[in-house]
Amino acid sequence: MENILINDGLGLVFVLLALPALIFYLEGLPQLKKVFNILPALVWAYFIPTLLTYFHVIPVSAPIYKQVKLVILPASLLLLTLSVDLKGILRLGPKAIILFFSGTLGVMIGGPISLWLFADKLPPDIWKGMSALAGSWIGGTANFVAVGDAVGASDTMLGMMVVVDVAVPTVWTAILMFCAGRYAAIDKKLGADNTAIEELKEKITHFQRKTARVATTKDFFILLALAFGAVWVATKIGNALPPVGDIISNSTWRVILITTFGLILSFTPARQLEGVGASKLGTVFLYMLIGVIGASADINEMIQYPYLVLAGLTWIGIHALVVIIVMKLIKAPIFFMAVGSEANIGAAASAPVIASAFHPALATVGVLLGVFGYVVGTYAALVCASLLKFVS
Amino acid sequence: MEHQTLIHDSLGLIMVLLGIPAIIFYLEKHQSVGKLFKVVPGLVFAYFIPTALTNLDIIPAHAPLYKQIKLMILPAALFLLTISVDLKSVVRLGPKSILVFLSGTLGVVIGGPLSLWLFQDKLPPEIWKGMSALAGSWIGGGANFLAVGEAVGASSTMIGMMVVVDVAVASLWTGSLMYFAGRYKDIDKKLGADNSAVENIIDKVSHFQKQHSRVGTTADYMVLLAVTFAAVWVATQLSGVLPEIGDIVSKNTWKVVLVTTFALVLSFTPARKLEGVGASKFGTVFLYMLIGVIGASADLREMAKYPWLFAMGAVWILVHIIIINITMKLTKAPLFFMAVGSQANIGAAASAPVVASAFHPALATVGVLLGVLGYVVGTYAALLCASLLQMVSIT
Repeated sequence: MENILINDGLGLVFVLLALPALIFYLEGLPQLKKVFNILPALVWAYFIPTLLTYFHVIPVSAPIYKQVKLVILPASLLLLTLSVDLKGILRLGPKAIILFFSGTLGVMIGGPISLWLFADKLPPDIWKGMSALAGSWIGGTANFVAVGDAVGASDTMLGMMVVVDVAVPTVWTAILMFCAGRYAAIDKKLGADNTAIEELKEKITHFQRKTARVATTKDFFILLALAFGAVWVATKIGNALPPVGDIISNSTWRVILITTFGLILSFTPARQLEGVGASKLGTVFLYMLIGVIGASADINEMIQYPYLVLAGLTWIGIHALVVIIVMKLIKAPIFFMAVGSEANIGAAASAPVIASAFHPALATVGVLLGVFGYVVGTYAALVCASLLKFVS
Repeated sequence: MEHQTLIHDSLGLIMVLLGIPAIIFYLEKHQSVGKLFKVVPGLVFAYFIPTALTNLDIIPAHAPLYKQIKLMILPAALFLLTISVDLKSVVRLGPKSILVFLSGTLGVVIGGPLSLWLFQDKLPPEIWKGMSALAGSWIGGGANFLAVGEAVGASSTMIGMMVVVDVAVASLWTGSLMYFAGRYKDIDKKLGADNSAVENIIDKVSHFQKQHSRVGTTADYMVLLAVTFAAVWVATQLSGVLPEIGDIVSKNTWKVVLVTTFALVLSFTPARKLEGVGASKFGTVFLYMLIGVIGASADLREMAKYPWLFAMGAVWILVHIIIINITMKLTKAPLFFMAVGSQANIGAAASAPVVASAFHPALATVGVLLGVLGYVVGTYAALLCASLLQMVSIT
């Protein structure tokens, strides 16, 4: 381990809380409004940890990061889902699914094309690693391992691909977050119809305003007990449930269960907890998570495999091109593009993060599409693998 | 690990530690069940339900999470509870509360020899050495326990036995103090005590709270938590660098002192307004988690192994209780001084603020100050007690 300035759990908790606090504070200053209009708060919350990692202020991986992912992510999902309007979300359905599939298609054809372009610069047999990567970029880690196994990729190759897997989407995720911060302007330019999303948001904002009140100690207790209680139950059941093939791992079960709990609770009086700040605390947790994702991107590693990173960038560029074209063709708002794409490239864990960058109320959409990614992942990636082998 | 408890993972324990107070707070507002809490305050349940769960093997008596809560959540709670305090009115409590505290110390110093004299023939030989160490713990805290134990040359087996007595007897008394804390108004009235100085602190904070209270935004919560954990982190880092002062100020004491100091300094700045968005409410949530941990740590089953030691400890603490109560009556001090003065002796800088805030969250600082005083007096008073114990001992 090199010398890292802040390495203890407590210090990292402090950094993960202080950065967004500082960003939120600065965003409120009138003098700095312009800066945040160009680069939204979310981009800062994501990239500053990456920079801090690069300059060895904080580590790339730490036990506390894992804990944030294991505990804080599901707690945040529950708190954000509590006040959701399920009917409104279902209405988003068709368009969201079309964009998700176009994203899958983008990954499937992007891989072979970029392999064809960079074949002579890359190690032989790289198609095996790329097949595994296709699994990750359509589904998630479970699909990565499953497809890698299926095509017989070596551990070293998988290790290399993990670097690309983490590094390349960083750039794309940042662009998506940038879009999320200015989506209203972008949708206007595109002439997209985002009334369905706006209605959903409006409903929740209205509900928030109607129920908002000064929280008591009791409220905070119930809020936190409910959140962590649900996380605990979801973790216990998630660990007990059998993994379904290569598609649904234990941690996927957990995300599915916690979202289900949130949705069920949204039909009960627990929904009133939104008034005392459920989604606000959920957002605090979410930003901690964004910080962790940002910190985990290691710029140092990217530099070691320049051509692989270049191939990955081309690959994801093709994916981006396909989803953007489809978005334009069907006049879908940018929200569908962003979440549809992230549900492919990221997974059930990061798609809701992007979705809630648009509005906390939209996290559920991300989970649903992300889980969809797991289901499609292995099959689509195996098709991609045969294309890759063919090109190779 | 001797046995596996039903819930032993950190996440499950977090849920228990949050869930119990959540249910208690919920039931307190309930129409019919709520009446129960007028008789036995919610805090007593928050403390003893975890004790019961431990002794029923549902949760463990020791867990890594408990340590983390003591290391992180305790200072965070102190910080959040102190930030809105009015320092001037705290200082005004000074003389009387110190008097009551010192009478508690006296109670421990003479209670030890007395109960040794009573139970001498039932106890192992050389028990006076272990009891000297215990006196260190019961006036000061863990650091004084070890310091005095070493000074009189107590064996580690004996130290181990005394830890059991320390935890079991002290936790029963702490539970009783919490029971009193919930009904202090009635008791003070009966005692005819003048409670105005304490009420003054509470009033000032509640007034400030009412004035600045508003619906918190996401940014508020972020700033609140960030400032808190910044203070905890800086205090932890500094306490790792600062030298330990003899047996009196250990690293943990430094941390508690530093984090309280930060909060007191910030209470003079606009940061105080964080109270309006719920600083002390979050502080209370953290505090209850801590209370749960303290309650869960009391493994009473161990006591069955040493019944006579337990009796000795009970008599000892009883002497302390009698003396401190007489002082309270004589000086017409309110119950609050007795409770915190006693806990600052028997517990330490970590648990005295817990008892203090059982009266009102705004009073946590008083507990810290008296608890630290306990560390300072601890070793000296305990060594005095040790020589008395040695005199009484027949060996």
